[in-house]
Amino acid sequence: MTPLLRVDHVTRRFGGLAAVTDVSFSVERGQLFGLIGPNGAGKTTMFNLITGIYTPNEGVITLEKTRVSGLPPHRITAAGIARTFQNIRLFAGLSVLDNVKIACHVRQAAPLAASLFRTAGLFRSESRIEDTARRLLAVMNLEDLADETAGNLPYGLQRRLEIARALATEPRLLLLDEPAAGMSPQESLDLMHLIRRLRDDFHLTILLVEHNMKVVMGVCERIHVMDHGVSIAEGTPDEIRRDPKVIEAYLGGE
Amino acid sequence: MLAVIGGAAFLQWGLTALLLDGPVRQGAYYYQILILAGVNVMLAVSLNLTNGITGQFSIGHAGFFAVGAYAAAAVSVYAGPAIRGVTTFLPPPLADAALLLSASAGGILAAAAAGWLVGMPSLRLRGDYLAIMTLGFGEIIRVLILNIDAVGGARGFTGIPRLSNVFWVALGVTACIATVRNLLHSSHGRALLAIREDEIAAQSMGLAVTRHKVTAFVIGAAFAGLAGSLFAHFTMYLHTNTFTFVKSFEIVIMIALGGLGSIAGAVLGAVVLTILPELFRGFAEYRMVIYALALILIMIYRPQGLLGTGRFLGAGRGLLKRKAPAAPDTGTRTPGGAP
Repeated sequence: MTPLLRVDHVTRRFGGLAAVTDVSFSVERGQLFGLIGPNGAGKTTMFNLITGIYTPNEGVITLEKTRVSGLPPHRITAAGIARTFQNIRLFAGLSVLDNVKIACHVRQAAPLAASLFRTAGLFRSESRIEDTARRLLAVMNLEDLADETAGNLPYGLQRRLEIARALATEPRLLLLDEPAAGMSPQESLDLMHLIRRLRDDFHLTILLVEHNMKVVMGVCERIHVMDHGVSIAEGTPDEIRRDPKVIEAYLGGE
Repeated sequence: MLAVIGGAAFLQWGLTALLLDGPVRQGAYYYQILILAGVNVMLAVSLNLTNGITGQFSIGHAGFFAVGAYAAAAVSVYAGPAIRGVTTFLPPPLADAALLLSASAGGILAAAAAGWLVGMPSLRLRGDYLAIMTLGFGEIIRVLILNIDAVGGARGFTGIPRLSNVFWVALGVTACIATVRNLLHSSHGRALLAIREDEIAAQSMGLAVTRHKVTAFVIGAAFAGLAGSLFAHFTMYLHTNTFTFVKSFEIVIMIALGGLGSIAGAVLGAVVLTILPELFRGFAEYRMVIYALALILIMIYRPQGLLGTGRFLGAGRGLLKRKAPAAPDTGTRTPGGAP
């Protein structure tokens, strides 16, 4: 069976700096896959390559049988990849509900003409979008805050809202960029449960970039380690924990 | 509900127009200001779609206003006899209406096409670059028209029939406001707001950012074209001096004054900035100074515009809540917003 996501010998350079060099890995359907590495390892660049913010200089990224490298970001989202951002990028001035509704556009928007003339089709699609959005807010325990302005939410809730928004695009692969950043130990624990629950309830495959080792080791089934833009190891959490190259990368050699 | 109120307001407006048309035409001065206010409202509300709602700062709106005015005038001057020939069986008022409608269709289509041509390359740029590009295109359009002899060139375009009146302008204003409002309250409108808030997040959520921007831009240009059509068939004479970048700035100031992103604000700004210069006719030379001062004062004391995101009708709740400073004295507090 072909993996859901295949990253095949991908390289990305910025001028003379190679942020990602010849990285390959594949993520199976339903897997919780972790991408880790010290600061500057190229993890976020890898995320931006998969979601189309950057295009690889070399190599190919495929989602099932679709080649996604080279497509613009909105087409990649339509193909089934959704993401959250390391530095939260909500539509801060809009309501919590609208943030999620906006992400529903890609799957269930009425045609433009229906919007301009307010046809029956528009009301049907608007009420479907409203239902989807409220259901996803309920999954994330945000339903009471639907009318709040997104920018006014506390940090942890903003992270949850970002996940709700990503789910609204009905992804097959969900990319979480440091979801535990800035969270307390208790919040991180809740997050781990949440990630597992999402995978099961939404039949998702999840690719996770994370610094918090407790979260990564606790939740991921397979881990890929990068350092200075190259892959240095891949395996189960136990294998990674014992890998001398990984230990060296994190603690420094000699 | 809003549609009902809008309909009632429109009916009242139409009736007033019918009743006043005779007497007010004598007081042609006030009548003219009324028409100009309507035209400016259309311009401001349509520019607000790109500048306020989508957050793409365009300062070339007068260019599309010009394209609409000249294209519509060209239709009624050159194709007028042919259209009148076809509509001879209609009573004269209806024949006039038919001619105005076909001319306006020409103006709208030409302006929308110009909007598409300008928008496709420009809207890939951001911020200052987009502003400069639209400013340049606005001027290019004006200079092109200035050099087309068939529409009068530097002499100006004369012989345009007077077909438009308060009724048609009211209809145009209603259509413009209704369209922008409908768009705003749909998935497409939310997409535009999302683009204003964060472009990268918007495209990562599956929005075809450039396409949405161009759509908003073309719809805005189309209504500037309609405004131009009705303007041309009221003044009966067009000169490119009316459509310089000063006019573009005037429209930008209207929406900044009223409140970027708010339809009611755009309407208010347009009306105020049509009437104010008339009141201060005596100091006409100082107009730009007063504009600049007013703008600076507004930016300092009320950066969200006079109305902020408030509305004339209905509660201020909904899509357009923005990052208003948490000052307790803004009159537009939303229900349930305070303890």
